[in-house]
Amino acid sequence: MMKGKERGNRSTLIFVILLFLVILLLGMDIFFGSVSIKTSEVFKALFSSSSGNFETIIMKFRLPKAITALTVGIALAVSGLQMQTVFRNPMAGPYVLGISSGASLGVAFVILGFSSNLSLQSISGLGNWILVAASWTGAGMVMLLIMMLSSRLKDIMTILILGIMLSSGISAVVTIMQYFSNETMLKAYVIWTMGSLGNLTTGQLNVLLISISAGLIISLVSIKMLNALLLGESYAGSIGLNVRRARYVIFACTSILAGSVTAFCGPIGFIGIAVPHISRILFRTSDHKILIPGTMLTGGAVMVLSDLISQLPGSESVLPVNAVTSIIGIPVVIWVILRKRKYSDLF
Amino acid sequence: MIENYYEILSLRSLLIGYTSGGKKNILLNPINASARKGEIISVIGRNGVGKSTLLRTLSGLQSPLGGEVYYNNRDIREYSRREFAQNVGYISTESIRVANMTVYDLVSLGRFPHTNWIGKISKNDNKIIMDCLEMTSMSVHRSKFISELSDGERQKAMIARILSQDADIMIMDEPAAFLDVGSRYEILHLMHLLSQKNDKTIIFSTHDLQMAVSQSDKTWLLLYDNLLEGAPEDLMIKGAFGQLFESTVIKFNEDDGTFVLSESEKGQVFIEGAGYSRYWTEKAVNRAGYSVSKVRTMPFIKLPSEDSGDWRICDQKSVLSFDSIYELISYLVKEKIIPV
Amino acid sequence: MRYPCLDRRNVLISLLILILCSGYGCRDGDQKSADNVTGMNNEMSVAKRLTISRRAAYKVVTITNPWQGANDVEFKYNLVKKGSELPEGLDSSNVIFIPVKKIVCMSTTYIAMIEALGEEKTISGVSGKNYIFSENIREKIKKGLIEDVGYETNLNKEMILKISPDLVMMYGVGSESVGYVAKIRELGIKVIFNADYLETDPLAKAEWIKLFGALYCKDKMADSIYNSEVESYNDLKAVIGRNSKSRPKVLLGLPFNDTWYISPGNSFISKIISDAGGDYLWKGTKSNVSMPFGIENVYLKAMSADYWLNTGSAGSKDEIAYIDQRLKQLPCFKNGNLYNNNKRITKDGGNDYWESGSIYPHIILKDISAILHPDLFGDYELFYYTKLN
Repeated sequence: MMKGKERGNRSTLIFVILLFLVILLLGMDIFFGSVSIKTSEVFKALFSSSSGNFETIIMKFRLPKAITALTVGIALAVSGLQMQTVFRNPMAGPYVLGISSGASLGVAFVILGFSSNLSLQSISGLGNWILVAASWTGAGMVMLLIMMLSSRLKDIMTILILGIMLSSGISAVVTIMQYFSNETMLKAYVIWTMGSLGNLTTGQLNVLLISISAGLIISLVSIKMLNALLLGESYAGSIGLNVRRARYVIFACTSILAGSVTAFCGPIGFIGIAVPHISRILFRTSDHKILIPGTMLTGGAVMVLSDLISQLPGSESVLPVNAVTSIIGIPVVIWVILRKRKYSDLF
Repeated sequence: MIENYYEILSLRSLLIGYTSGGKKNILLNPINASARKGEIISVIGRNGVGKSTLLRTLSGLQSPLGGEVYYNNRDIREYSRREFAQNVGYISTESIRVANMTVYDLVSLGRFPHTNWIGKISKNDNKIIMDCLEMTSMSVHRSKFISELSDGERQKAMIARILSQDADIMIMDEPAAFLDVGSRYEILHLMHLLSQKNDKTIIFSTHDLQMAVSQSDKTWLLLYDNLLEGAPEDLMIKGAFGQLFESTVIKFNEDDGTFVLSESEKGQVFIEGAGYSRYWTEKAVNRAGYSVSKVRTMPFIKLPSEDSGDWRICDQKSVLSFDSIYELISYLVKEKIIPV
Repeated sequence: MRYPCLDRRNVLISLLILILCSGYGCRDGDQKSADNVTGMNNEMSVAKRLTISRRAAYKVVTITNPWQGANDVEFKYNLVKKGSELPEGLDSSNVIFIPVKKIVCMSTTYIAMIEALGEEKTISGVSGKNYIFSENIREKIKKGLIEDVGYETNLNKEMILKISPDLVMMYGVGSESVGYVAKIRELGIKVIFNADYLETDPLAKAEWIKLFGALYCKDKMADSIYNSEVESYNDLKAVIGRNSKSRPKVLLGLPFNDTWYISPGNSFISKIISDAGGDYLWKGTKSNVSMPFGIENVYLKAMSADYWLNTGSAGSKDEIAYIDQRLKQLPCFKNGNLYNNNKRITKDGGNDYWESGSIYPHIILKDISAILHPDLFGDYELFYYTKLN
């Protein structure tokens, strides 16, 4: 039990440490990768206008990837936190409303639906903008559906269940599409579901940064709403929160954040669920004024770390990023659940 | 008729209830009632009659199915959420489960309708929060997590929260539920203070009739689809309380406003003697199923006096002696004397 | 009415031939000495997963490890001439009666080999009709004479039953493949798991035509096709070895997002490149499956590539750039040394490289060596390959 000032100081300290950690990890992600590059070369590539193979690798491959990882981590962590607070559920995550399912449906239509006309790499290639558009469309439609439902349904739990059912339903449709596909199409789709951070062109990275920034600005507005919602929707209403408007704002924010990530990088799991728990443990507060920025930093750090690991520095092979986030995320969630004896202490 | 009391809340032909599947389900006949500034109003009624619904409707959490509620002479529907929350606060028995939330955090949420877009707590807000903590004697616990509090402390924290909302009207749904007797009276005392010193209007529901009767200025009694309004004593005189529980098992004692289990009367017995023990002996004898007779009966009960410190049942022939009321009543219940 | 050809003498002669044939298994009338019985190969010359051995009354085809990761998996098939008696002690469940009259082909390679033997009329079912190059077969499909039976996970078993083929030939993907066909095997339809796609030597894959030779009683024809192919290939290889002056480095494939699935050094294409006088960038690697490498790594190595072949679905420089802008920096891209094996394709995605290319790898060899050493063959026009622009 700490007095107010102490808690303030503790939070600040943790912020500073996290910031430092993020910068460190970003640095490591740039320094280390599949190809071994000497430190001096890295500096040369970053700060002087040299050219050469190493420079290309650093500037064109690693740097954009690291920035993408940071952005993705921030976006998913924040939207996960919002979902956990709104639904009062420690297992909620950015995809609980069905956003990634909607996105995957759009992508499945493109990859699995168009059989031989578009084969493998043209999907990942000219595919990229088509996939992004398809993904956003799918996610957007789910978002609209959820918005419509949320205005009609009183109980927030009903929305949660509907979101989960929607996800399952869409997944079933995608499964049917997969059933009727041949190996090459299947492979292309499965690879999409593994998530990838290193595939963005500069143009796409810019669009991603813009949309995530928009989402994060909205998330700042949602801080007060989230704090009120901690008490449950009834009490939140009694202290003056317009619950319906709050739902719209928060759902829209999550859709933008999670939808954009999925559109550009595929569905990346577990960050959204695990990171809010980590930041709650670090900051020991329920105040979203601290938690939202804190979760941003934590999410960024964890995602950059995952990217670093997936590069398997020193070896030529790479791991799909989803595998790494699961390997990190699942033990965290299990550990969080086990160390608390009461469910009510979780969040 | 004193006119210079300010009517802060008025219910005009109010219909409360809920809609399910498109059908309106109205719980009570149209309600006409009012509350003056600084009044403590107790809401009493059987479970399911609509106490919670009424309180939720007054707090703006539920819409009325008909009629109006006027606060400060304005229909509450005209208020924005924020404005309304600055004036009317609500607590219920719903438990709050949040990890890592300190008492201070909880109370500071009461400032929600007053703070800026990000909810920053200004120096002024902080002072108000600290005052509210002080008033509810929760200052010392302000950095504790609410999950670490006892039920009574948690309830007091909730009251501190509603206090910090600085609302004129505080609506509380069973604020004393789950509390031990001591805490209950603490809260009662607090309510009294708030109404006297801060001119707060408090509307609370309770099952504790003693509490209701002893402290409230007015009672809203929900009985047979109607809301009866009046000072508790007025309602008592009208016999309204007694009708609350139509039961052969319970009897309402109009003298002191208590309910007792009615037993078929076994008879009347005379109690001789005076002093402090008389009141409690009479109560115990009632409990045993005998009423107290004004005329001497045989046998009769003799209270302890200076000569003897024991209770006695005196018959023509015999005298039985008991060391305590417990022994006396056990005998009465078991052996069943039949006084003549 | 009398049928002149059916007079007694003709009938007797036919009977005699028939008896002789059945007596010697399927040998189209060649009744030379016993030497020739064993002279027909027991071992394949290069194919590792196929063995054909001839007994007196039947042939035994043994296919080993027909899928990736299989260990000690063996399928034995007994080929018995139609109309002859089942030799004693033979497991009837493995017997396939030859010549095959109706076949369902799950891969386009088989179609090519069957066509080469002139038996395309026996093809009654295919899988993935869009991916077929052969015009003949496509016509028949359009006319409804050949059915599409779907993919292995989604095999249209009822369709296969309707066709009622003598044989279904498919490629195994894993041990579960056996499960997909259990149902139709139960009903008596024969299934052969063809492992040609797993052969890493170009000639080894081509040698599988002998399997079809055995199935259609055209062993000699199959042998001669193969042998002439071996000659062409080796001659070409020698010419290349003598006259090529350098060993250019070759890059293959395209990335998927940020992973590049690299064919290992012990793969078909790596061998051909080597025979064509080039060095595949990863020729030293050994693996059973394609290796997922980080794009960084591949990019670095690719900087030293002189030629870029087999650019997958990309048919132009623009398409490559679209897939990943960074690839534009590669020297081989800037020099325009980009070639793809999609010259002979249909609009639906059928590619002859996989069909006739399996039978005549020497053409692929010639194409690639002509690309890598432009002076070698003068005016030779590429057959399967085309330059990207």
